[in-house]
Amino acid sequence: MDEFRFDKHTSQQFDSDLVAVQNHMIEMAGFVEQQIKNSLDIFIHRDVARVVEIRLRDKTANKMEVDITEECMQIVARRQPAAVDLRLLMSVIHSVSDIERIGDEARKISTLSEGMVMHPALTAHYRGVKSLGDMVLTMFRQAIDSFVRPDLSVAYDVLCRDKEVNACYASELDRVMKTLSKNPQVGALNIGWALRSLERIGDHSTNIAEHLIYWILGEDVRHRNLEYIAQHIEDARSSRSA
Amino acid sequence: MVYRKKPPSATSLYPQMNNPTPHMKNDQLPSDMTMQTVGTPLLGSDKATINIQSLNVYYGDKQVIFSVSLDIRRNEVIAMIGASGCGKSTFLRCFNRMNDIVEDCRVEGSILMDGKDVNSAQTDVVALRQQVGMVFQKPNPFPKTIYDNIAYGPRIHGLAATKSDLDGIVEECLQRVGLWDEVKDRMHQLAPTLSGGQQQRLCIARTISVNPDVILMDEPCSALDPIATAKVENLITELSANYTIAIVTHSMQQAARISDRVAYFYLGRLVEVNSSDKIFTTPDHHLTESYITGRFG
Repeated sequence: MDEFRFDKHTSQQFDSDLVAVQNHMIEMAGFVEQQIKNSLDIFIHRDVARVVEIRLRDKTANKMEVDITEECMQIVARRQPAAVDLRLLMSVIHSVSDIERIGDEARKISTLSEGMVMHPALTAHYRGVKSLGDMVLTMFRQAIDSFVRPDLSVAYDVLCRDKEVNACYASELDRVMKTLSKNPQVGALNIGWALRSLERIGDHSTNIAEHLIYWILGEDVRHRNLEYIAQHIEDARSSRSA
Repeated sequence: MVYRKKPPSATSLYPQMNNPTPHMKNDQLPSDMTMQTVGTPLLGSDKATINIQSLNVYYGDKQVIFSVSLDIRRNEVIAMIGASGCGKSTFLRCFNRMNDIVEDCRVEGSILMDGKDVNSAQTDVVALRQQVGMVFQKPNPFPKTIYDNIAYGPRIHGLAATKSDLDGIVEECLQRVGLWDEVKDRMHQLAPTLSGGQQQRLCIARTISVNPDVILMDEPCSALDPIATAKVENLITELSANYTIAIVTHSMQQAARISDRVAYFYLGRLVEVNSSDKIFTTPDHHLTESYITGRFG
């Protein structure tokens, strides 16, 4: 029976609704990615004049989350989706919540810059923030890419990268603690908080990748170790190709 | 905005779906095509009250059910779903030999009801239909009073020794379908004067009045409004404590709400049997997934 393949829904409007909700999620992700970039820039260059802009844009991101969740609710109410469609909507609802929280972390980073104006001497730490920031930006971008394609390999790669991010965070935080122990100052403390926010962005990106795996495979891999997830993806691939 | 790529369609996660084959029609399907049912069609003889093995049904030369095997456990609600003409009603009607009255219908294979072969020549069909009651798509009360509709079965099967026994059965059955309070003051009114939902519950009461083990329901709510449907669904859930229920429905939501397991039929084949929880979230077979997500059918 494997030659029987069915593509679109009988209702074309249902297809359009699902594509639209994915488009809106990806649009929101792009918006929030720009927020992260801007916040890092503001923090590293202590460009506090732009903090207001980040706060205003964060409200837009919040509204996007509410709108997309409402859109999903409407589809659930009108279409009563099942199986892959239901899993897609659940994944989108969870993912936009993660994306919104990533936006919150970006806002926090920009706000922390207000306490950094007097601390230009922490150059080495800024480099650490930039380095960790680049890592989590890549993770976030990959997590969203895994949704766009959709691609289990990319999602799995995001999960693997989280360990690298955690290691980098631990190392940078250690350096901040050493600075603090020598010379307690608000600037170093804020760098610690910024690092913390970036690490949280990595965690949220991991969540998004896990939602993608749930959408495609129907297996909730949250709180599972990497070996289990790799095996599960491999098993699913084998059974699909069989 | 960074991400402007158009996302794929929801189904592109199955790359092989990108070149869909036009739907095959019944008459294009090779007659010898067999398929393995996925999921949990068989439970083991110790758990099954109904055991169907390699069932084939033909209308004349045309085969409509292809080697279906399925176990149904006691007090289970099992829903049969599938597109029109896939054989689910034909399959259901085999349980109490309703197909006997269809000209040219031939049934092969075995259906064991508590170990006894339904299709055996020794089977008393009247007793079988007492044991396996049926509720149809359109409410079909007898053109008699409400009381007589319920009392009819117990009378002919000799289940009541006295008038007061019969009154007790009538009241109990009406109570169980939640109709007693609505009709107790007009028991001698003609049943067809009741509303559609009341008539359907009356038919269910009539079915249970002869103490069946199994109740078959062929789209019992398709002619009812949402409130009457909710009442019947609620009743099905309550009745499952005492009866095994097999229901054919076109409403996926209804199957999800009331059934323990779901059996999906496609062109006479039993494609998948799984728990409702599984089948509506992560079905095992792509045909089931396509059907329940509205991609064909």
